Amino acid sequence: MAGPTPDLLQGTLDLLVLQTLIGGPMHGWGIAQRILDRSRSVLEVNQGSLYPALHRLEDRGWVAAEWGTSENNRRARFYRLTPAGKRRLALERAAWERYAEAVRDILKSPFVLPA
Amino acid sequence: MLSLTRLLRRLRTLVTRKRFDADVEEELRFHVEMETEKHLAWGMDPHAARAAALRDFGSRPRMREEVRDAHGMTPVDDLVRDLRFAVRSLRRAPGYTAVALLTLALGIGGSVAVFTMVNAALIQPLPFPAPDRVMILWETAPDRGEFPVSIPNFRDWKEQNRSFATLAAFATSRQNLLWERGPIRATVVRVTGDFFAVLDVPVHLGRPIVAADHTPDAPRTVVLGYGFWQRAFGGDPGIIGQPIGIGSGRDYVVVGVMPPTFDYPRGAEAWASRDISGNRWSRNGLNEHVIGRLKDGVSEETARRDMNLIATRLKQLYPSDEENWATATVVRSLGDDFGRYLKTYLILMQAAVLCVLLVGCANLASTGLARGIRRTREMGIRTALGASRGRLLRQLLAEHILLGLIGGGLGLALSIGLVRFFVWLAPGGMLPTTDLRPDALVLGGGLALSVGVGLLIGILPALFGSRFDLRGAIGGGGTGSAVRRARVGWSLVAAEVAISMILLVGGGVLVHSFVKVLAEDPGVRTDGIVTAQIALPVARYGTERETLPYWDRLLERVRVLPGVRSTAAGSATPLGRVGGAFVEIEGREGQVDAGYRLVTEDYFATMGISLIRGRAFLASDDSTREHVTVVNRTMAEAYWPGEDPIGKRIRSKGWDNHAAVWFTVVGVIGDVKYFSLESDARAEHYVYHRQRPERLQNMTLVVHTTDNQESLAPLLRMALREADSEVPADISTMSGRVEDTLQQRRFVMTLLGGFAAFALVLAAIGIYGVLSYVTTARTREIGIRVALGAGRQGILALVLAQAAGPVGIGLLLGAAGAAGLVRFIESMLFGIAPLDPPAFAGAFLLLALTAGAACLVPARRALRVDPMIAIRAD
Repeated sequence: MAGPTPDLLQGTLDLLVLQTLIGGPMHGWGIAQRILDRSRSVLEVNQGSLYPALHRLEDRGWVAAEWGTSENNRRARFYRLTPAGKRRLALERAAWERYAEAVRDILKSPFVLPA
Repeated sequence: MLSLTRLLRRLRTLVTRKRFDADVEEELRFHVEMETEKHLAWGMDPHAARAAALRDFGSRPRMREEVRDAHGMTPVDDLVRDLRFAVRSLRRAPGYTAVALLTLALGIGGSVAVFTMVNAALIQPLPFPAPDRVMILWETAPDRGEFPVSIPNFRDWKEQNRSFATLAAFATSRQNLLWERGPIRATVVRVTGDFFAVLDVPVHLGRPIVAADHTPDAPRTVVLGYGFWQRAFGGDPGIIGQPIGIGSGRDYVVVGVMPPTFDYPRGAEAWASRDISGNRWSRNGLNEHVIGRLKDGVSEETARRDMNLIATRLKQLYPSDEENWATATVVRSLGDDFGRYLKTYLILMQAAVLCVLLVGCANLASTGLARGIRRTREMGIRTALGASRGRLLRQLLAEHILLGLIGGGLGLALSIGLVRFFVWLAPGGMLPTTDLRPDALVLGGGLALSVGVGLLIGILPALFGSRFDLRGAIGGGGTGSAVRRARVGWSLVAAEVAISMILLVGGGVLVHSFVKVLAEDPGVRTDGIVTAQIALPVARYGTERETLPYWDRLLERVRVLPGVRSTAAGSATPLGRVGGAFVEIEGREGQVDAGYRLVTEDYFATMGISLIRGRAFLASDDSTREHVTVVNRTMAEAYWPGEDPIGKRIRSKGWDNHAAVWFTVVGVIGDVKYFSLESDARAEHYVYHRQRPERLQNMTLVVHTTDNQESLAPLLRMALREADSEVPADISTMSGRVEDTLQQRRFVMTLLGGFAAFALVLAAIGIYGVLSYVTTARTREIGIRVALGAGRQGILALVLAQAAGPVGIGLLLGAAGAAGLVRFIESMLFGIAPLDPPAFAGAFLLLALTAGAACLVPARRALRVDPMIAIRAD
């Protein structure tokens, strides 16, 4: 992978996972793949944080999990967004956008390097 | 904050955790497989693909932990692990565990048992509605303590007070109950109309006694106690409406039965209505207990002021002592009044048993410290493997808290038996017998105590066990830590010795007091005396024409029973409370106080009361002759000091139709103890029964027998039946009566002595344990000393000197603490000074000797140290 891979900001992973599940139920591996694909391989989710995050979201009631069959006919644990998860996603998304805008504004403002 | 659904989810995860773990495992495996396939698709060879997938994935166990953590399961996991570990490590040391559990079960069990009684007697509200509004009222006067109330004063109170919604008087006595199946004796409470209104407890059957039952011509009514109803009437509900004769033989109607929980006044078997109108009552007939329920909005303090105002007014109206003793009124809530007598005893016992528990804890803590040494290596390895200090601390604490909880559980079970034992041991009426089951407060207290004790014994070993120098620990035990542990161990020993000293002195002064009480001369013969309390129904025994023949008849029959040496009768129970009386002494102004007993001619001889001067009564002293009296030594010395009392004369206004008659003193006899062995003798005089025969209805028959006292009882009953088939009697023995007066003292002494003995044993174990540990730790040093030529005495001194310091300090601290304790229990002492030298010296010696004995085994072990082995040991 070329270029720097930014570390996921604290809390961003939850947002990404919830957003990914908008497209329908998916298993852990699939979620990681989707995030990687959609970010054009920029955001690589560390499995070490993915599964704890999924289970944390499940504990909070934002996603629900059940066993299903994967594309290649294996038993896999599928996560799906719950109504509470959808509300949460909206909230997190708004927060993220506000945050990103603020960062962009700062980056756009002209500044002069100290002489 | 956890939401409810989340909590439920977590609970479900916990319950199905086996499946949960398998699910997580499968999920992670699936991920690795997908990853492997991806690598394969890129053209890696299978082996490398899998390796890469696994490498990317990282530590699976750690992730599993984190996943579980995400579900909030870590604290539970940790707890389960700590407990599992604790169980393992306790099972690995079965000896220690058994001793610890035994100590804790006994200590906690004892504490909970005593607390059950404290709870029932001092904390739980009385089983009446709004119990804090129910007051008991006593009269009082300077230097006379608190005393019951007279009927006239009670009537004035009832009329004049503005504080009480209801006010009732009652007096308790043993009475004859007569119904169709024959006579029985029962404890009957004569109550005024409002008694049941004050207490406000619903009846089990029928109706209570009400004010309307007290008018002079209303039929008299009686309410039965549940137990008595079951015992005497087989629980027959048909008893309601039946007539029963009480005391004087007058007919009463049974109107109700109280529920089994109702036990007031304690031991009452029946409550009977009474008529207190008329003017036959004396203001000094102090027989009535008075209870009342405060009006709404009236405080205890307001009531007190109100009642004292009335008392002041009454004292102004009736100023002389012979008319009216009382100068003030005591108003106290019934609950406080119950607790008043028991408080000191119960607090003493609770403190004592907690002290024993504390000594036990000190032992277990120091044993825990010593065990910790042996586990240093284990802890070191754990630390090296990454366990944090907090983690080790928690683990070590968990072990002791588990110990505390198991010990507490055993203790709780034990306490139920102990409470029964205490109640059996305690004199009747001392402890409340209802509601002695452990309630939520007792259970909660027991649980808190168990956890607290676990923390207490665990904290020192945990602190020491979790902090050390790692290298030293794995390398083979640091001596610095051992020295610190020893120091803490010795401090614990000093504390144990101090506490044991306090308990032993406490037990000692009580035992010494008991010995002093036993040595008191009751002034009467106690062996071979059988007594029978008899109450003749006034209806048939109103005058001397009926009473004198009865007593002649009875005494004649009893005198010829096998084994009987002599028999007599007296108006008061021997060694019992005697009625007070005011007598006028010829040639002296005013009245003096002197107890009064009516006796038949052989009374002094039968009871073994010594005649000091003059003569006893003779059968010829009848009502036609000069009226005579016999006084006791105290009376002679008090009222005729330095004079010969023989020939002096006294009279008393209270003596019915003998009020104006002078009685001549013809004899002086020895003092008889008033009420109990502990009370001082007081001035008393005796009058011959034939010279005042109109008051012979309530007498006690006394029989001196050379035979077995028990075998006399049935014969006595037969004689009583022959004299009058409808007069029952309470038969007991003098030695039994003396025993009854000693019961409370014996109870407290036994309990405190038992606790002290237990503490002593524990302290000995403690000293032994620490000294063994310290001596073992110094084996090498001792070996070197022996090798360098130290003699046996030197080694012995070396070992013993270690224990001498802490034990000495403990003894001194304990003596100081004991000095405080004996002041607290001063009222329980008899015939000794609070700082009783024998008790203090005895406790000191006993502890010192016990400590010495506890040192023997470790000392001998030290003497047997083989220098060669000891030096090479490491």
